[in-house]
Amino acid sequence: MTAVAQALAGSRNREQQIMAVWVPDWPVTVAMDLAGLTAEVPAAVAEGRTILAASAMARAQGVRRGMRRRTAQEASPEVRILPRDYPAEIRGFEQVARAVEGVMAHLTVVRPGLLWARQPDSARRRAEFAGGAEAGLSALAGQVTDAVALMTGAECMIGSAGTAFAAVVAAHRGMLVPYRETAEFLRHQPVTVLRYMTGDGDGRETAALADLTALLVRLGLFTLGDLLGLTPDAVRTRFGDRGERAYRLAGGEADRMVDLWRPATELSVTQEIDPPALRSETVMFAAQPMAERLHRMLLDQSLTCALLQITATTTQGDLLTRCWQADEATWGGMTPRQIADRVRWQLDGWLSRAGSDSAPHRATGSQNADPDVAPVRHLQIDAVEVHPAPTQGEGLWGTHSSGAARAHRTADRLHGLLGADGVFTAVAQGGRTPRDQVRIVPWGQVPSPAKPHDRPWPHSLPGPAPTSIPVEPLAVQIWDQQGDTVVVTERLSMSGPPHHLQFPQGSVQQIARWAGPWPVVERWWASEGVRAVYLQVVTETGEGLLVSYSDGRWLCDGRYD
Amino acid sequence: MPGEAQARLDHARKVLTAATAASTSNRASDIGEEGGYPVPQALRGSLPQGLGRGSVTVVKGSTSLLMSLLAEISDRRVWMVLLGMPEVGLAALHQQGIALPQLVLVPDPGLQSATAVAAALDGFEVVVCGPQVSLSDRDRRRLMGKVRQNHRVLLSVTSWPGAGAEITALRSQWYGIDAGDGWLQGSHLTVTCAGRRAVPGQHEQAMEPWARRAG
Repeated sequence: MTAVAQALAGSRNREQQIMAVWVPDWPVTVAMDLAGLTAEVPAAVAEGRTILAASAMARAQGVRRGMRRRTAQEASPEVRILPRDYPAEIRGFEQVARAVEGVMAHLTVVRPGLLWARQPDSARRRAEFAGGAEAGLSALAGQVTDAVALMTGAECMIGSAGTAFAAVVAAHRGMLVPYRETAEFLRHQPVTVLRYMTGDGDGRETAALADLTALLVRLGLFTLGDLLGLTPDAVRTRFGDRGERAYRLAGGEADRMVDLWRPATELSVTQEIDPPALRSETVMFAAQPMAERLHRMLLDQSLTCALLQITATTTQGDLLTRCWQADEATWGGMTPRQIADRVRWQLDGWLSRAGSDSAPHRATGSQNADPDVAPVRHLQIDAVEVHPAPTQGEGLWGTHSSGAARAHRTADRLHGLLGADGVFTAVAQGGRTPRDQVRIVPWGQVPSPAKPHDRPWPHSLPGPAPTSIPVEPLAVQIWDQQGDTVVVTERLSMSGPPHHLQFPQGSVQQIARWAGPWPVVERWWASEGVRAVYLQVVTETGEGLLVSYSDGRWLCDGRYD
Repeated sequence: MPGEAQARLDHARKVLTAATAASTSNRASDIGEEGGYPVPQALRGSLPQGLGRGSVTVVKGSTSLLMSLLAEISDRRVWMVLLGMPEVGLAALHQQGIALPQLVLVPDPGLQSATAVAAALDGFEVVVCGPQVSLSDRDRRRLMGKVRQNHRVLLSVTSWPGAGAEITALRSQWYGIDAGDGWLQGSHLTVTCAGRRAVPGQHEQAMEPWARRAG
């Protein structure tokens, strides 16, 4: 470690002990509970075609996170692949949070499956005085594990260290690291632990971190200690903001997140729910604008927050409060959508905690019938630990990074405005027809690995792609000089050269020049396979058209204009 | 005799525009760095200041023309959004060299068009309004204020009163095929520029939007 890094770590590292509680494979635990499976059955949760989490049994048989569904079944033929139920994960984790709350106060939920809390100073000092830090830590960890096991039946891993990041790493190793040894502990960790930097399940950030880690490994930096061997300037210039943050965390420096416990300034929005509501959907109707208001307040003052505190008051006077971790990586704390999502999850957790003592992970149930849950009459969302947003001025390399952040925020806003099928991005991929060569991905989704586009795709259509592609191919009539419809046989011979064409409700246009026919046959063995013949024509006005012939019909598949 | 006089006048005009283009080219590149985005080579004579930030440009008659303008801008790695263009050929965009990772598509903003364009102007450097964007003239005036204020580039494929420049493709002729042979390789476009940002008295310009890709 360089002198600078040491000084940095020393000055910023407060005497605090953070404990992370991690329930491994939380999605699969919940899904198995819902499906009524026991732990001996290998099971995995899949989202789309990708495996999201696997149970210990399934992992022993070679099923891994991120695998394709089919590969997983290959590795373990008897694996049960279950659908993901995110609301149930949240509701279930609320029980875990309540169990931990019985032992430690002021906890923060990072995501379902992971939370952390600061060990009270008084308890820490008492333990140090009585018999050493380790003994105190393991006693506390034991209490938490017991409480969680007793109340929810879930097994959790406990990690403890001087910073939140280190605590999460320690939880994955099942280690309790006294805060004084945090820096030493981190130095020996492989750089792959940097994936724990993002608490959110945000796919984009996770993917970016995976890229960063891969790059570090390629450069020969295998442990966090190797990374710290670089100078801060070198890290900043080569790896950008993300690398800089990784460097700070690796040095045992506390992230903003749990650094300052006492809230400096708080911004809050409140709303009476009138009439009081028992369904989370009804409350969300009011909470959505609140999320946007809070976000606007943060943006207007160029602030960001580390924690989001959600407080609901019920008609019986109960005060329900929970803190959520805001992802440091997003500028302005969170987007309105992310804020609203967390509020909805939390409300789902509270309003369905009915009968929690008997059925820990109960997913469904008539919420209205439960006498314990009272309707919510007041909702408050606080931005806690507000601090100035990282200033991202116009950097030396232009406005790229800040421009990207702005564009992302705006796209999020458009997404909120127009709904899930309103905003898209495009990814180039391999393919034979223009429709296949670019894939459209809804905004916010991470594109799964595409078909490679840098390989030759034999029999793909040559030349520039059409500049316009109709949403649905348009039927078109094509005749030869005698006025007979042009047909193409299986052996690709045309009945005659195309001479004129007509769109439905259009005038007849002369075909000036034409080329083809090109066959495109894809997956001929499958029923959904494509078997078509393509033709390019230029009309008398100079416009180009791409037409295809299949099943005796001509369709216009694109225009060149 | 009048024919010869006309030819001499044309020649004089040509020399004058060439001289103007040459003398402003230095300045144009300066502005390109600071204020506007460059336009394809063929249009630099007509639009020496490029696509100005804070102004609206109408691009009509050819999608290839629009794509070649976007491709020049995309070299600067700016974020752009295409609103109301459900039929745009994405493979063609990619081939023209437009960076897809920095491109966001809103195929059908529908009734929310005005709000969506206003929101887009907050975060994207370049906003393209396609045929499916329905705006009233009042919306357009309001949005133009926002374009000016945020220094954005707004391109519209439909008429926009008060636009700074209007680039129109009069004719397009695709070449490369004949009676069963070859394949479409590109097009010859005939383009005119009008409006207050364009150099007045310009003639039709010939350009090949797909030549850039080959070269």
